[in-house]
Amino acid sequence: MTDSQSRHQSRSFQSQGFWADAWARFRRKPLAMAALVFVTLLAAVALLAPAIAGTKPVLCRYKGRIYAPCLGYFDRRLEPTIFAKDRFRGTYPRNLKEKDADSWAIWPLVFQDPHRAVRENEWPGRPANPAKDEGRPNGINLFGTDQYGVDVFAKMVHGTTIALLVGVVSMGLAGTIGIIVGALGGYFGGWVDMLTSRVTEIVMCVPTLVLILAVIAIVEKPTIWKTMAIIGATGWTGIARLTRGEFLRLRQSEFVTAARATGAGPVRIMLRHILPNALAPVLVPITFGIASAILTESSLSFLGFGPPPPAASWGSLLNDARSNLSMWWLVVFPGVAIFLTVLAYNLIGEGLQEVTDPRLREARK
Amino acid sequence: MATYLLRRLLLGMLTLVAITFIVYGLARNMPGTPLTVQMGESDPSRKLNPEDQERMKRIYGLDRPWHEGYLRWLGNVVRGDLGRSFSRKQPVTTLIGERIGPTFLVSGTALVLAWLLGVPLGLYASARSGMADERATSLLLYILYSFPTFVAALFLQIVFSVWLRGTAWELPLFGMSDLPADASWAARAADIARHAILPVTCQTYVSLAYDSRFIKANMEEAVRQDYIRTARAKGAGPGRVLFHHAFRNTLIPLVTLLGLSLPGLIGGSVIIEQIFTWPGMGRLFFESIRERDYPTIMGLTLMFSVLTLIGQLLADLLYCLVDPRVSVE
Amino acid sequence: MPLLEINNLVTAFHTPAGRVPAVDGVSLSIERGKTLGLVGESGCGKSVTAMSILRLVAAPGVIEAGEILLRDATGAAVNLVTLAEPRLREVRGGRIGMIFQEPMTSLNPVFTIGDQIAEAVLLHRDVSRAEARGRALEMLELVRIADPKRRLDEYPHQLSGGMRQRVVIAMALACEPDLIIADEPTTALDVTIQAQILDLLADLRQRLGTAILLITHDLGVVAETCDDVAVMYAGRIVEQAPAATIFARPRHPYTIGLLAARPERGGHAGRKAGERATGRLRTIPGMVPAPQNFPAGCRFHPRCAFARLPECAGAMPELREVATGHFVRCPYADALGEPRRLDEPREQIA
Repeated sequence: MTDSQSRHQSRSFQSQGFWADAWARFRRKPLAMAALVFVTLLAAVALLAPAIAGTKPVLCRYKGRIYAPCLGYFDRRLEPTIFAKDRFRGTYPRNLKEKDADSWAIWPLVFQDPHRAVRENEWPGRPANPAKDEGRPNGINLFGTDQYGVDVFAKMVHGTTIALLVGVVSMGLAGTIGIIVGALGGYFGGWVDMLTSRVTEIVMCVPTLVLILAVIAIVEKPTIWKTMAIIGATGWTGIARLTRGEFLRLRQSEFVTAARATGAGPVRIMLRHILPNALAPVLVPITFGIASAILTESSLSFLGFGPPPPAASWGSLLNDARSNLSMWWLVVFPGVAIFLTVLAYNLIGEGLQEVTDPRLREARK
Repeated sequence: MATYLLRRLLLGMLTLVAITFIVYGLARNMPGTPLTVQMGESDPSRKLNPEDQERMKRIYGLDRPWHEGYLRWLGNVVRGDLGRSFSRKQPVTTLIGERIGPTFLVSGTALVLAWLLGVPLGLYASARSGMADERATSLLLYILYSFPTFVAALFLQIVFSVWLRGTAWELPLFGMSDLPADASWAARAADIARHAILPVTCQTYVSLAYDSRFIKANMEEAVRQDYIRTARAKGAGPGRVLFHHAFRNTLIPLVTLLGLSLPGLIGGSVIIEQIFTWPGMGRLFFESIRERDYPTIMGLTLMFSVLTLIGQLLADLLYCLVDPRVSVE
Repeated sequence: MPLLEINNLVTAFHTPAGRVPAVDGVSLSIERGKTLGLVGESGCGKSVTAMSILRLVAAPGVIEAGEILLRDATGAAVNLVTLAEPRLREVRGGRIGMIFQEPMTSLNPVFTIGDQIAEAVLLHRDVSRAEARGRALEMLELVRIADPKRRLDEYPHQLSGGMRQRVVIAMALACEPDLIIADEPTTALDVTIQAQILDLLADLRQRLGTAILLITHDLGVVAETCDDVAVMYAGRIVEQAPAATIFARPRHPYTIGLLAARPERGGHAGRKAGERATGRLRTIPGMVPAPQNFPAGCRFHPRCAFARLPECAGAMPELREVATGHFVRCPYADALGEPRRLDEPREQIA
C-alpha cells in the first residue's frame, strides 16, 4: 500500500500536486514554519530598515514639498539634493524647524544612525551617544554603542540587508552554475562528464576560504556584491554533484525516452522534462548553502575582509568586538543575529528535505 | 589494485597541477608584492626606492611573468624544494614543520574528542528516536551545529577571559604559551594545555554536532532497510539489531567522513587559529596571504591539496574495506 | 488443536490523516504441518496480518485488539500479542520462521551468507560458533544451493535472486521452527525460479513437517501448494475453506470474481464461475477501497455483481460455516454456491 503510493508520488514531482502536498506537510512542521516566519520578518526589517532606525525622516514636508530623505540609506543619490543645498549636513531635526517653521516630518522608530554617532541635542534634549566602552545597552541605545559611539541596533538593522542578500544572491549564482555544470555532466556523460567532474573536483579541493581570500585580494575595491559573487562562484560544487546524480538517474527514465521518441532536443529534454523532476532534491542543498554563505560572509567580515565602510555587516561588528572584549554587547547581539539566521535557514532546509524526500516522507508518515 | 592506485595517482597529479596553477595565478595577481606590502605597511619611511625594488624583484624572481614563475616553482617542487618564505626568511618546509605541531595538537584532540562523544551520542539518539530526551538532545545538537564558530569563540573568550578574570576559572585569551622557554617541561605542558582548552572546545563542538547528526541520519536510513526486518524476524534483540546490523552499514558513509576530515586535521582552521592567535597552519596561511608571501602560500596550498587527495583516496580504500559490494577494480 | 490461532486481530496505522485499520478483525487457524494460503489483492491487509503475528509491524502500526495463540507440542498456548519482548524473540526465528518478498534487500549486504544463517542458530541454540557454521552449511545443502562450502563465505550481492531467496529460506528453517510465514516469497522472482522455490518449500514441508502460512495474490501458487485457503478483502477474511473446495465451489462473490479473473492456466473453476468460454478475461469492476474509506456493511458490496441493496450496505455480514470447514462472509452464500444460479446475476437495485 505505502509502497505503491510513494512510487506514484515520486513520479509526479513536477505536478502541482507534489508542491501543494509538500507545502501542506511543511506547514505542519512548527520549527520549520517558525524559521520561515523569522526569515520573512528579517526581509521586512531589511526592506524597512530606514524607517526602523535612522536620523533622516521617513517622510517630511519642507518648503512646500514632500520628501522621503530616508531613501538616502539605500543609495546616496536617492536623498533629495535640496537638503544638501540648504546645508543640512545630515542633521535633520533642528534644521527642518529652523529653516522652515511650517515643516513636519515622520521620523524612524528609533532615532539612531548606522554610520555615525548621534551628537548631543541632535534630537532635542537627548545626550550624545556614549563612546569607548561606556555604551552599554539602555533605553536610547537598545543594543548599546560601539567604541566610536555608533548605535549597534541601527548598525544591525541596516546590516540585515547584507545578511539576506548574501545568502540569496550568492546561492542564486551557485545554484545556476551548479545546475548547469551538473546537468551537462549528468545528461551527456562521456567526455563532457569527465571534464565537468574534474573541474568540480578541483574547485572542491581548493580550500574555500583561501580561494575567496585570494580572489577578494585581487579584485580592486571589494564591494559586498563582489564578495557575494565570489562566494557563489566557489560554492556550487555540492549542487553540481547532486544535480549530476539526479540527471544521470532521470536520463534513463521512461518519460525521457518517451520525450526523445517524440523528437525533443537535448535542451528541451533537460529544461522541460528532467529539471522539474530534479528540482526538489537540488533545492535542499541550496537552502543549506544559503546558511553557509551567510556564515562565510560573516567570517570574512570578521577577519576584516568585509564590505567597505560605512556599510557594516553583522560580521564586521564582531570584528570590532575582538579588540574590545569587555563590550560584550558588541558580541552578543550580532552573534545571536548571525546564529538565528543560520539556524533558520538550516531548519527550513531540513524541513524541505523531510517534505520532499519520498523515503523520509514515508518513514515519518 | 596496482593499476587502480597508479591511475588514481596520475589523476591526482593532474589535479594538483591544476590547483597549484590556479592558486599561483591568483596569488601573483593580487595587488602589491611582498616587497611593497611588507615594507610599506610596517613603516612608510622604509619604502624601498625603485632601484632597490627592481634588484629585489630580480632576486625573488618577480620580474618575470607569472606563468614562468609557476613553471620555475613547479620545477623546484619536483626536486623537493618548496622555496624560502619572503617575509620570514626561512625555508617554507621549516615553517610548515614549526606550525604543524600546534595545529595537530588542537585539531587532533578535537577530532578524537568529537568522535569519542559524537558516535555514542549519534547512536543514543537513533536508539531513543522519538523519545523526549532524544528530541531535546537532537535540538541541542542542531543549535550547536548552526552556531558559528567565531561567535562561540568570542562568547567563550568573554566568559573565561573577561568575566572570570582573577578566578580559578580564568583561561588565557590567546597564544599558546606564556612561559619562557627555560621553564620546566611539565609546567610548559600544563600551560600549553590551558591555552588549548578554548580552541579545542570551539573546534570540537562543531564536528561533534555534525558527526552525531550524520550518524543519526545514516542510522535512521539503515533501520528502514528490509534486512533490519529480517534480523528482527530472526529473533535479534533491539541492541543487536541496532549495533550489529544497522551500525555496521552506517560505518560505510562514516569512513568517507573520516577520510574527508584528514586535510582539516593538518590544515587547521583559519578562523579559530586567527581568533586565539594560535601559531598553527591556518594562521600561517592567513598571514602569508596578507603578506603576499607566494612561496608560503604555494607550499601550504600544495600540502592542503595533497592531503585532500590522500583523504579521498583513503576514504575510497576504506570504503572497499567496509563494504563488500565495492571492490577496487 | 491448531498450531496457530488468530482471533479477531485488529492492526491499525495511526497516521496524521487518521486511524487506518489495515487488519480489521481477522481470525485464522493453521494446523500442524499444513499449508494455509492467505490470498487477496494488494492492500487487503494480508502482509500486515503476517507482520502482526511476529509483531513486526512498522512504527505507526499498532496491534489494537485480538489474540494470536501459538501452541507447542503439548498443546500449551502463548498469546503472541501480549508476550513479553524477550520471550517473543525466542519465538521469532525459533518457533516461527519468516520469509520475505524481496530477496534482494532482505539480506544484510555487509555480512556473509554463513554469518547470517549462523546468527539465526546462535540466537536460539546454545552452540559454539563452529557448530553454528556447520549448521549453516547443512542448511545450504538442504535448500539445494550448489557448492555450499564456497557460498558460506560469500556476500549477498554475489548471489542471484533465486539463490538469495534460498538463503532466506535456509535462515528461516535453521532452528527447525513449527511454522514458516512466507510473505509473497516468489513475487519478486522470475517465473522459472518461482516454480523451483515453491517446489523447494513443498518438499521441505514434507521432510520437516513444518506448517506454512503462505501469503500471496497468485491463485496459481495457492492451487499448487496449499491445503487450506483464506481469502482476504479490505482487512477481513471473506471466505475460508480447503483449497479443493475453494477452487471447485467458491461461495463468496469476491472469491468467485478472483477466480474468474484468472487467466486460463489450470482454472476450470474460473470458467464455471461465470465465464462462458467467451475467451475474454473477467475483471472485478471498481477498485479496492482504501482503509480510510471502507464502505459500510459488506465491504465488497459496491463492487459485487450479486449485491442486494439496501441489505448489503446495512450490517457487516458474519463469517459463517456453510459446509463443513467452509466459512463465508456473505448471507447469500448458499445460493451462490450453486453454479447454475451464477450465470444469472441478480438485478441490481441502484
